[in-house]
Amino acid sequence: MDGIILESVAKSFGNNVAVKDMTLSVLPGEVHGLLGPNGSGKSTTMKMIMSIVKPDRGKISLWGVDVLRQPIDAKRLVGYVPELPYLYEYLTASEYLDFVGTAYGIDLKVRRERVDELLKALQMDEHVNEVMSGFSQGMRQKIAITSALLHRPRALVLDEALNGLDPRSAKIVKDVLQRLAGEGVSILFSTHVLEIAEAMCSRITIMNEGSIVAEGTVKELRSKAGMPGSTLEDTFLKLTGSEDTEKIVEALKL
Amino acid sequence: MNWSTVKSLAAVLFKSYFRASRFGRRSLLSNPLVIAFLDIVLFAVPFALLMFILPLVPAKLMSSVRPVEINSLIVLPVLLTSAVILAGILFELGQASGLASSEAVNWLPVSPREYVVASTVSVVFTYSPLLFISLGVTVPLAVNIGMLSIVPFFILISVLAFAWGAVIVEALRSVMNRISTTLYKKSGRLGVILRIVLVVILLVVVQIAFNPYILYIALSGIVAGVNFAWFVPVIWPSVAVVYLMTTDVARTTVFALLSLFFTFLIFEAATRLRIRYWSPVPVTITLSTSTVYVPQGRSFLWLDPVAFAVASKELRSLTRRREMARFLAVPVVLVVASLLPVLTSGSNQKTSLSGVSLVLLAEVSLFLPMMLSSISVGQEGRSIANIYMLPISADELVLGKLFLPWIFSGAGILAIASLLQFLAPVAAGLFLAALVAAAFNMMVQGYLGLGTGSRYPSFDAGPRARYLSLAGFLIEFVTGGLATLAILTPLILYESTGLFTGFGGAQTVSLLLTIVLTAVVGTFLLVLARHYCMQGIKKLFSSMEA
Repeated sequence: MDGIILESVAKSFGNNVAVKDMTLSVLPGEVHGLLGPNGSGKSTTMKMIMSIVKPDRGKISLWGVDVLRQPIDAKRLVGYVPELPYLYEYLTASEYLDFVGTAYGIDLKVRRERVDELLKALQMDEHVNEVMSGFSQGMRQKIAITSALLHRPRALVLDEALNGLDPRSAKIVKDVLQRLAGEGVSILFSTHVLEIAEAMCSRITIMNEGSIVAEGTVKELRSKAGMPGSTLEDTFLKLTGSEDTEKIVEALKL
Repeated sequence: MNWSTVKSLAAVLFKSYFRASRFGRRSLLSNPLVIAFLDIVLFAVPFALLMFILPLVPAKLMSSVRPVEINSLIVLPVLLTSAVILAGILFELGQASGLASSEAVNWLPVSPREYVVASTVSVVFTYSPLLFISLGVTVPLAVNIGMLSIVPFFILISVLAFAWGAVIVEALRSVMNRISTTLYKKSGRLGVILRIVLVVILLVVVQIAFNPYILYIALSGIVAGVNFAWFVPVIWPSVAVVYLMTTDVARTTVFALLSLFFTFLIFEAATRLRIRYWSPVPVTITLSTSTVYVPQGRSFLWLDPVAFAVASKELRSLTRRREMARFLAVPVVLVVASLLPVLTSGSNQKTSLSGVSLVLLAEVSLFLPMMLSSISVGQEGRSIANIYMLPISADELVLGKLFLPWIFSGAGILAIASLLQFLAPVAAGLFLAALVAAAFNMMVQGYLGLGTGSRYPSFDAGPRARYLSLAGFLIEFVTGGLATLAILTPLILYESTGLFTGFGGAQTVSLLLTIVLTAVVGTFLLVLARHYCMQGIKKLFSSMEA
């Protein structure tokens, strides 16, 4: 089956259940938002899709390729931006992109065109021969995004990928993602900025304590929460049981 | 100066050292009270033992020991200063670049002078067990030779010399960070090469200087030259001790005052350096002024593009990261430390050299590939995530990771073998047999090292991180040692008992059979080691829990 498919996937770390019996599908051409409070299991889910973390049970496939049985083939189909991109700090941006490009088997000529395009678009072309240890968080994020898009993946897994980006670059990335979705790429996108999720995602899954608490379009989520006409923030807080923020702020003696 | 700020900053620096180091976050040693207790024990135990044992030593024997006792008292202050400087430099060089900057002090209300005092105190406290054990040994010596009266002064001047080391380390930190930053900023790729060469030379010099053999020669020189080198400040505390022993109070006072004056001088210098350079912040390093991206990626020798990309990354890791330089220095230290006593032994140089030849070749073919391959997984640190998220197969990873250990070790073996052949030539056949054994050993050690490194990696990026867990280190040492022994056995037997000489009687046939037997044993171990390595890498891929 096409797209990103998770069937009854579960993962625990010792006694801590990170993901409980999760079933999710990100269809071709879909930008699917994955929302949830810190520690709700979003990043673990994404790492399982990338076969970085092995699920305890369940099945994950990327465009029909079983992630657990054929991890290398699966990785060739997907681009990933982790929550904290741990790049090789002692490499220059170009050396790192060479490493990534070679691993994906991208032809040198094609690689040159794509790297040039992406780095220029993200205003990183001037820094291509700088060692990345001196890069800011935003610059590292731009290199991580470039490396995820380099091989024209059929699926994208983006864990808070817009963190640290300047408004111009964030806008470019958002537009690029919409265009890629238009071309049939399946995109799973996590963010804590609900306005971005509302603007970008065609469907949203809300997770809490390792489980899916709601799934659908923004409109469907509002009606599930019994809050038609409310903001996505209020809907999210209700669905994740965190509506007590006002009381907490009042209790703070600042 | 705000002393409560100094106190809390010193505590923070002290705790960060232990918690960031391989002792780990939960180390008991990160508790200052534990260190204080350890200090007392380290002083009391040798003190009590020696006070009990020394009076029992026969007078005849004592007369020959007496010069050693006197020399120890004279040398201790210089030795303490040098030891703290050495430990401080090694700590600084072994620290991951990312951890080297303590930026927080840049925006906290801490003055440079407060920082210098706090840093000095934390260094003194960190290495204080060294001071206490040294005093625990030397004070009974002073008592034993009837110099009880000099003990209080001796302790004070030793503590002062110890503190000098800490202040000098603090000053060196500022300078080293500054030089490193400037070098990187101004000279790009050349700076990277220059820095690695300088760091390796520094580590080699420092480690060789503390080689017991060299140390013995140097200390004898210091004792003999104390009176002549009185104008060298580092010697002043020792000179003061010498004059006190001869009850020359005037000169003792002069050198004690000079020592105090020097303390203020170096403290002022360290403060000014800190004021000037303050705490370093990460710099932008440009390796080329070009802003054009020129893609690279090709096959090389037996490596496909992906394996070659991994190998290139490994080479850059080894040459660009300050904390990796010590791994490049180890083989040089190993060779120099082994050869130095032989080369300086005078008359029977050739005989001694042929004695160490096989040992040296075994050392290089064992330690160099073992060390480089076993750290190659752990040194990835958190960036190992890249290996997991990219489509890199186990075969490609193994070939890429082993390329550097094999190439470096191969070059090292050839260089050492050629040097030994030049200094103490052996028959061509024996030379060839030794090379065959070393080559097999090198390949086996590479696989064993990577196999163990992938099973027992340590991703801790703290100072002097070893990138391999203690269990891995022990397993590797045992398996590597046994494999070396097995591969070298035919050659050792040939050398010691003339293996196969009865077989047809001819030396050439015997040597040929030795080479064949070495190759058989080597090939068998190579197959086993490769299997061990591949299983380890596959296990690593399947057990990732980020």
